[in-house]
Order: sequence, then structure tokens, then C-alpha cells
Amino acid sequence: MKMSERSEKNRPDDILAWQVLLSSGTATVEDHHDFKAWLEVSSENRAAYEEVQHVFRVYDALWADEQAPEEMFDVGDAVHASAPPYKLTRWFVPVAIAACLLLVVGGATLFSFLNVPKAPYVAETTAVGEQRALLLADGSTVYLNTDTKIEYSLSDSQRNVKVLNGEAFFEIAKDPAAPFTVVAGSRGVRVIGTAFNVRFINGVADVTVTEGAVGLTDPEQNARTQPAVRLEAGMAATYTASSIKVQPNIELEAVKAWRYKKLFYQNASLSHVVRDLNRYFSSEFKTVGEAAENLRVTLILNLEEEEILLNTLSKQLPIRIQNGKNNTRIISVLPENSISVPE
Amino acid sequence: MESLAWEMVVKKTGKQWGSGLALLAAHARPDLLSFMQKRVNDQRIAEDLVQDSFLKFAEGGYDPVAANARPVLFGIAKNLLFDRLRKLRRERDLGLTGSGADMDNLHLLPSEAPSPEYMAEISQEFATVAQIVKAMPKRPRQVFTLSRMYGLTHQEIADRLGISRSMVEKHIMDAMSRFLQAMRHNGKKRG
Repeated sequence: MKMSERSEKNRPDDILAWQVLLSSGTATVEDHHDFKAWLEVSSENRAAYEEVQHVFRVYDALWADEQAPEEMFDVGDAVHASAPPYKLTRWFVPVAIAACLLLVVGGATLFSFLNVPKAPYVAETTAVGEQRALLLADGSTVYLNTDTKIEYSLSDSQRNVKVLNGEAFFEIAKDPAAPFTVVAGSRGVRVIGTAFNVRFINGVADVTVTEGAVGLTDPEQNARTQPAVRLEAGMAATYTASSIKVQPNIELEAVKAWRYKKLFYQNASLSHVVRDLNRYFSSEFKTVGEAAENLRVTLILNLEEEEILLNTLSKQLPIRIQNGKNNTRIISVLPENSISVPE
Repeated sequence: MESLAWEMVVKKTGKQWGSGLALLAAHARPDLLSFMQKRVNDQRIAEDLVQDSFLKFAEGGYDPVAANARPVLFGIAKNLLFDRLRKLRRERDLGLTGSGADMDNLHLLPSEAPSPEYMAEISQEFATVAQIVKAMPKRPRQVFTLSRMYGLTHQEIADRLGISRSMVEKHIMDAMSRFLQAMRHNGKKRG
């Protein structure tokens, strides 16, 4: 059947064929008119169109995102068949990071003529529920999450940050002359240029690397006899003053989600969610009952108004949230026979 | 090469090249250039877009040492990228002459660069689309990209890849079906 004949039919599945026709480069004005007529036939046709448009919008948005997968950009040399493949002169050269860090990378940096003053430690703090991004004088970006306190000091020969409490995501600008160190608790992260998330709360630190590689050092140990723990992109380390555990395959989207005002949970305990709620909101959240301790949840939360978020939470989980004295919220698990079966 | 590019910018704007802007450039230009090169696949066009981004940043009076300088710069760049893409798609879909173009067909034109708020909302769907892209066989993926993100006609794609027009159409349908199926399946799971 020709497309013009289909323009009077309620056939939402034809949307793909329409899309192919209209983007072929050979569509006529008449073809566009026929498509408009098709849209007017039924709400199902329109819904199919909207569905495809939504896919395109998400695709476009992903394509414009810096973190888009490499495969999206592979078109071989097809686009300009006559142009020679160009050589990408990268400023950043991925290098193996050893415990001792000073690797000299060739090529001048533009930092040489800039006067980066020696500064004492400067503190930056976010309140509960606040998120902020800092552009440091060396070009690094630090994203601060809720309830976080850091101190930093930059000089020509070294760049230091201390995460005193909370969580921050670091994108470190490359400067081989001034290694960047982030200390959280008993260990430090030593880098030349890369991106990673650091969390330090109640004596437990988590470092997750999203780009490049870092060495996790123990300042007490001699760097020459105790090599640093090397973390590559996708790996995380959780440590306290006395122990350290390394995980090889972290879901990076979950770790980065807070920067997009979302929280991802995959088979996490309810108490984990509640701990986070206590970080992001000023109300005090508590769980009550054994069932609450054992409940595992998988969901995505949008960081928005507390009331709206709690409403979402009580809809998605078999829980009841009650208000207690002094701004407390008490969360308990509903008894089994009152859970509605998902469709 | 780097210093020559900066001289050009200084001349065009007539503004003093302050250390703040130099700092932003040192920090962001290599990433921005690499970002553009990947997406337009042409060295000259990529450099022009990067230059224009810095120009617009400077002329817009944005603070180059503010915390949001890099995101603002990239936001400007993405808008320029989408302006260009919109033009390519419009020329292909509505015909270069434009005189017979039916302006009611605005619904067919892609929207502007997505806002940060929108991007935050759909970050979960990113994962789905990214997964499908990675799992897709090379040909449908390349054909889809050439059509959607380079605005090539089916004949142009057929010529570049050495395949028939009907194969081009088949690959586009294949790619789109995969995306639709995955989004529907995902929608059901989250219920």
C-alpha cells in the first residue's frame, strides 16, 4: 500500500514507515500533507508519533552529552569520504599512575604564564539539601553534594583538597607539575588528571573512579615500600582507618546520579535509603521494626521537595511514613496482606 | 597551533584576553574541541564551532572564572551544534529551495539543545538508549547516525556506504524498532 493511501488509516505502527519517508531527502510537499492527515486520523497515530519523537529527543540529548558512548560517533570516514582522517592531538595522554606520581608529560601548558598564588587552606561548605559546583583556579571542577565540607589549597607545585565531611565529585585538570591530592579520612587519592567521586561520612570513605585512574595512598606508609592501591575507571574503594575493600565493577550511573538530582538504588537496604534521606533533608528519618531492617528496594528517587519525594516513596514501597515529634519521620513496613500486587 | 587560535579570537572581539578567559580556555578548549570533532567529523567545522562558542561566551559577558563557566560554555557550544543540525535536517526534509516548504511542518523540526533540567529527567532513559546503541550491529547504527545526526539523504548514505537505498531504509527501520522496543520494555518494568 502506498503511504498516501495509508494517510487515512488508523495504523499507528506505520509511524516508522512515515519517519523513513519524511527523512529520506525525497519527500514531497504532498507527502508532508499526507502525514499531517495521518496524524489527524486518530489519537493512536498521534501517540505513536509522540513516542518516536520522544526516542529522538532522548537520543539527541544523549548524543550531546559528554558521557555519550563512543559507538554513537562511529561513522567511519563515511561523512567526508575525500577528507583524510585527521589526527586528534590530545592534550590528555592516559598514563599509568604509579605510587609515586611525577610523570612528565610533553608539551607546554598554558599555566606557565599564569600566576597561581600560593594560598592557605580555603574552606567550602554546603548546607543540608544544597549542591554547588566550584571552578578552582587550576581549572579543576569540584561538585559539592549536600551537607559537605571541604578545604583546599593550590600552589604551583601541589594541589590539595581535604574532604572533611560529605560527598564531592572531582574533575581534575591535567597539570603534571602540580599533582592533585584529595584526602578523605585515613587515605588520600593522588592524581594527575581524571574524574572521581569521594564520599566521607562517619569515618567511612568511598572513592569511585569514573575516568582515568588514581592511586589510593596511605600517608602513614612509605610510598616506596607500600605501593598505592590503583583504582581504574569503574572501580571503587571503601575504607576506614583500619580496613579497605576494593570493588571492581561499579554502576557509575548510580554514583554520578546525585549531580543530576537523582538517587539510584539497586537492591539496596531501606536503611541505606533512610541514611541518604537524613543527608539531604533536615527532617530526621528513622525506621521502626525488623521488617524495615530487612527490606531491599530498587528504585530511582528525584531530589525534589521533601513532601513530594516522600509521597513517591510511599507509593513505590510497602511502607508507612508517620510524623513524629520535632520534625521526625518514622518509617515502618506495612504488613504483607496490605501490599498491592504490581501489574 | 593553540596560540594562533587565541590570537584570532582576540582580534575578532577586540577584547583584552584576560587571564580568566585564558584559564577557561586552558581548562575547557581541548575537551570542547574533542567534543565537537567527535560529533561533526570535520576538523575545520569543529574548530569554527569551538571558536564561535568562545566568542559567544566572551560577547555574552559571562564570568570565565565562575563555578558554572565550563557548563555555560558547553551549553553555548551544544546550542550551536543543534542550530547547525537543525539547518541540515530542514534542508534535507523540506527541500533546499524553501519556496514550496510548508511551514506548518515545524513539528518535524528538532527542538533546541536539551536543557539541563530536561537532561536530568531523562538520565534513566539515557542508560537504555546507550545500551541499545552499544548492542546494535554496526550498519544499522551507522546508517541511523548518518541520517539523524548528519542530516544525509538516503541516497547520500547509500553512496557513502556502498549499499542500496532500500538497505538504508531497512537499517533505519531496524535501528528505530530497537529503540522503541527497549523504551517500551523499560516503561513496563518501572510501571
